Amino acid sequence: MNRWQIALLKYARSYKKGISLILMLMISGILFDLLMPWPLKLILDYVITGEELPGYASWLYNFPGIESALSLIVILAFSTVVLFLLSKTVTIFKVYIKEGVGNRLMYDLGAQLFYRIQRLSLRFHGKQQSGDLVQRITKDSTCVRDLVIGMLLPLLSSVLMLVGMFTVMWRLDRELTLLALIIVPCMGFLIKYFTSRITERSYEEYSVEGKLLAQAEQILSGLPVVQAYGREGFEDKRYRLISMRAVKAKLRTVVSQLQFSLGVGTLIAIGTAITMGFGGYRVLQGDLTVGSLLVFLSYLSSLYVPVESLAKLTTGYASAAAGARRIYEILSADEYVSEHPDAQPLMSKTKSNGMLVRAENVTFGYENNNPVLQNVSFELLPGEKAALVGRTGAGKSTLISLLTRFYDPWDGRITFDGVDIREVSLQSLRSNISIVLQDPFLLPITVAENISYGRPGAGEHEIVEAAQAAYAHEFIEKLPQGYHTVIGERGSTLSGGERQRLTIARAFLKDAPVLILDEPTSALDAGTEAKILDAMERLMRNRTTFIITHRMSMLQRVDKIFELENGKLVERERFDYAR
Amino acid sequence: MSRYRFIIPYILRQRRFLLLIVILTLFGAALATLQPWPLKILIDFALGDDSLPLFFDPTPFNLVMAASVLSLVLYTLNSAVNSVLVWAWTAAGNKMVYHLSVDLFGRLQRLSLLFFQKRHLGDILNRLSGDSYCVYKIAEAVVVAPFRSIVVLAMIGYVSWSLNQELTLISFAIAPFLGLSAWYFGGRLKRQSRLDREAHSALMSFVHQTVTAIPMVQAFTAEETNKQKFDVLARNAVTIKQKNTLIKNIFLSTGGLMTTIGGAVILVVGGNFILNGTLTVGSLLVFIAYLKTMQGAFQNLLTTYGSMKSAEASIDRILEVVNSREKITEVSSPQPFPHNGTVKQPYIRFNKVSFEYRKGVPVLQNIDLEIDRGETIAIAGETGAGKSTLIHLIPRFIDPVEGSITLDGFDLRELSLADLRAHIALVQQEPFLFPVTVAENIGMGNPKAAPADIREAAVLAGADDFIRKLPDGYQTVIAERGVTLSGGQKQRISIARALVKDAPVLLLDEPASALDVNTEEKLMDAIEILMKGRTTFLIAHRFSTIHGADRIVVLKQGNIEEIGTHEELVAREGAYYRSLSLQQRNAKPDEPYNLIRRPSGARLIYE
Repeated sequence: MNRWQIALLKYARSYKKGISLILMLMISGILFDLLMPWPLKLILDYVITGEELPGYASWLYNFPGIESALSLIVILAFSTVVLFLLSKTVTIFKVYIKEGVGNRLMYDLGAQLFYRIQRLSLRFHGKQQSGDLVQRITKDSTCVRDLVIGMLLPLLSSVLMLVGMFTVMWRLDRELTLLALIIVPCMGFLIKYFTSRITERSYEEYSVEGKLLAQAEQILSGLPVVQAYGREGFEDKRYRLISMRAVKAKLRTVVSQLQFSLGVGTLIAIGTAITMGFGGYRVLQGDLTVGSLLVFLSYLSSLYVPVESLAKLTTGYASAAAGARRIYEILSADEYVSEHPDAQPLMSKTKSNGMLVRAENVTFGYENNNPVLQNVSFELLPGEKAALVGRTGAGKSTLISLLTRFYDPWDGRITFDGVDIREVSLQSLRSNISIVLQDPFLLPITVAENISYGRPGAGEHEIVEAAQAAYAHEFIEKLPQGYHTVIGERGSTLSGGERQRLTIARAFLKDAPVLILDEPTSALDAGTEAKILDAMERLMRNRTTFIITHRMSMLQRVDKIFELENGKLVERERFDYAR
Repeated sequence: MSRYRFIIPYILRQRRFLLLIVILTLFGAALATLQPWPLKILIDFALGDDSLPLFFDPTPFNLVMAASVLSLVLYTLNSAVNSVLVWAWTAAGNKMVYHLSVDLFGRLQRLSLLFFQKRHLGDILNRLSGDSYCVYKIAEAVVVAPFRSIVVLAMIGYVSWSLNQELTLISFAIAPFLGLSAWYFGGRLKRQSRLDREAHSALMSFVHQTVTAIPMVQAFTAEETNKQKFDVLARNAVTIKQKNTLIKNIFLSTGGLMTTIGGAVILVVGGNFILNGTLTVGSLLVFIAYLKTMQGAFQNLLTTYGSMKSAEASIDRILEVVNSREKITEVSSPQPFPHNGTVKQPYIRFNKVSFEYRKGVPVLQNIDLEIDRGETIAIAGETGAGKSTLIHLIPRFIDPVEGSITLDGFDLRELSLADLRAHIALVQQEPFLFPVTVAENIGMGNPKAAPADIREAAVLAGADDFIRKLPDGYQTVIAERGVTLSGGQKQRISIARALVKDAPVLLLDEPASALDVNTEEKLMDAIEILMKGRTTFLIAHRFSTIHGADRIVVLKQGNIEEIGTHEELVAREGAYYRSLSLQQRNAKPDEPYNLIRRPSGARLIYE
């Protein structure tokens, strides 16, 4: 067994109860299905011919009011309804539980992945595309459902069904059963031959479809160039070409699927013909009853479903296995920012007034031998505000990533209130820092949940207070459901300024002593900026603050100005910038 | 109904397939009707006492063999016909979808950028790949499925009526009950599956937005909270899914239940007839077999309405693209405009041009601007001031809401789009390369370009060196695995492309601002070669890029705040000067007023 198979099966073990319940329901469902053709047999073989019912059905005479053949027919006919109801009830139960267990399996695995991915270091994320990670959480996590619910259980049920059918047939007529069994190896051959072809072709189909979509996306997102160079006609042709290829690939898949079902159908037809011919001969000889012959025929006609589900297994297995392997990659990734074994929580000594933040000869880069920051040192006293300026790519965001320990420096150290940040727990370090970015980061959850993001469990009045401090209360009140409006849903689109005020409210609520603002106003126009500057200024009060900014309006409000150039940090005099 | 007028031609276009489908359907229905008869022959005539209404009297053994052979033939023919039917239908349906989506793509490409500004690309792509299946669905729901159901019902009805009228009436009596259950469950199922989709997509978008912002999540130590939120959303999704399957299965089971009850009634009534001697066992079996086929046919008929409704929603979303007013219309008889090469350095004029993406939110207001032949105009201003919008008006990606723009005296709207755009070259901040070879990318704007021209342009753009180092040189296909170009290299290719096009009007939309300073400096040499002798619009943030322009336009909130040469604007001491001097002192505190020689790469700062 592969490592990922073991990992997944271990994982499915926690659902033992649900799965064994499904198995029990499955077995009883199969029993009911096997009983289905029997009332008809009894009617034809015994009731109509006027014979006594055989020993296994003689209990039917105990029903009150059994006098005539007709009343026996009524009872037997009624029993088909009962059998149907029983079998369906079992099926519905089974499907219901299957859906629950299957999806819970899937979402649990998704949650696990989600949790891990969130905690992996930015070094890991730097190498991964977020779209690919989302794919793993949302799509690949279905593999466990597909494997357990979609494959393991159907495999069991198909095998049990086949075994059950042939056992009953064996007891009715051995020779006829052996004859009917001839088609089984042929079916095995069909399954083996076609599944790999169908898999290949449907894979081809998906990849062409993917290409088509990718092409459309690419062209439509580069439309100005397409139009400017008059390439619409050319692109039409290209789209048509791939589109036609997709149609052809789809047809090829359908053709092999049809060949397969035609093959299975023909085999069943042959089995039916053999049974009819030989069985009819046995009936003429008096060795078999008409009713038993019908039982045979009805079993044969229901052979298609288990065979088909067996055939689907190989196809499904390949894609589920691919998903499982991708998941295992995440589950076995270990690029976490390491915590000191006996990390202490970071306690602020001067919480009400910010923290003392120092960097001592910090050197760091993303690639070996290519440092982005070199020997950077600075000191910010509790409550001081520093602006960080420099060109795009000078390392401003990198420096900030070191403060939050998204990365650890190659050399040198950073201290908060004199404590090296590598010696405190990550959680406590980050709970002492608030961040506001240029692009306000909001989740599709309610406004209140977004504000309390950094402090879950905050009371309603605290949330409102924070919103008021950020001058966000007013517009929140005007939203369709106020604080309980889900962001991004219809009718609740917020402007850039409003979104930024929500993140400021979030920082207010978190009330951390260290504040990091990364170009908080540069995506806003001047009018909007003026409105949120007041909120920002209140937020900075009594906190140690870093602001990455190019705006004069912000530069005028800080105590120190640091400039990064070629990886070096220089402190500038404030008046350099003031006009 | 009007929405179908758009769809029907796509369906009729496949009339050959449709004819084949009709013939096969008739044939298949006949086979389905005959299917239970070998069994009847076997039981009534071979094993029973009845004699076949034939001129000769075959032995029972021969009849048994005949029945089994007949069964084999019927069964095999039936699956063959069905297979061909499915194939024909897949081919026809996919061709319908193909034509629709190709047309749709063509229309999308020619829409104004306005259309794309207002919608998510994902939504548009959905229309292309998902909604275009509506034509398949409609053809299936309105034409193919009902036709088949009706033919099957008619044939079965006719045969069973001639066998036994009472039993036929009983079998048809299940129809209204099936209808009732479809009506009862239909709406519920639809609502439920919509809830299902919504719950799932809520979870998806939560994951998506979280994973794309991992640094924020970690900074807020929100991993646990997020996990809990995920659990809540997932549990909700599971509950809805479970309810969904429950309803779906109960619905399917009621259909089966009706048939089973119908079967039980037929068994009782038919059994009675057999006891009386008015019905044979074989005929009873035929009825029971028919009942299953009938249930399927009825259920297909009943789902027609539902699938039509859902396909209609898709049609509407497609019609939104097809009937979009946000397209650039060409006049029926455009003014002839001199072709490539003959117009050197045209002049361009904006007359009171206003533009808005959303009503009441003007992006440009009353812009009056004249650009001389061969002049280079730099456009500066804050993000959102309307710089890109201004230059997008020139190739008519969008049309002004008010006012007009003229090129060499011709109103842009009186020219053909092809003519107009043949005279314009565009270089964007994010270089866009097509997934074709490097040579094709460079030669794109000029079909007559020879390999030597392409090479020459690449040399001028400083791209020749790295192109030749690519695996297949100029024949390397862009965007294939293994070929990754840096931003600067891509931009050089797009500059070479503009050089080959040799258009008299050049639009540069922050061509270098996505690059680092050193790359920018090198790239500017190529850009200067490109600008030579063309009427150029240049949007840039960096002063080093701007100050060489003939004139500088400073935009502020959709208005021209200042316009003039670098020296004029400096002398005027307005916004341009202020942002400039700010940057100046920032970089070189000891030379505060030397504005002419500046460090390159400094960014203009606006207050």
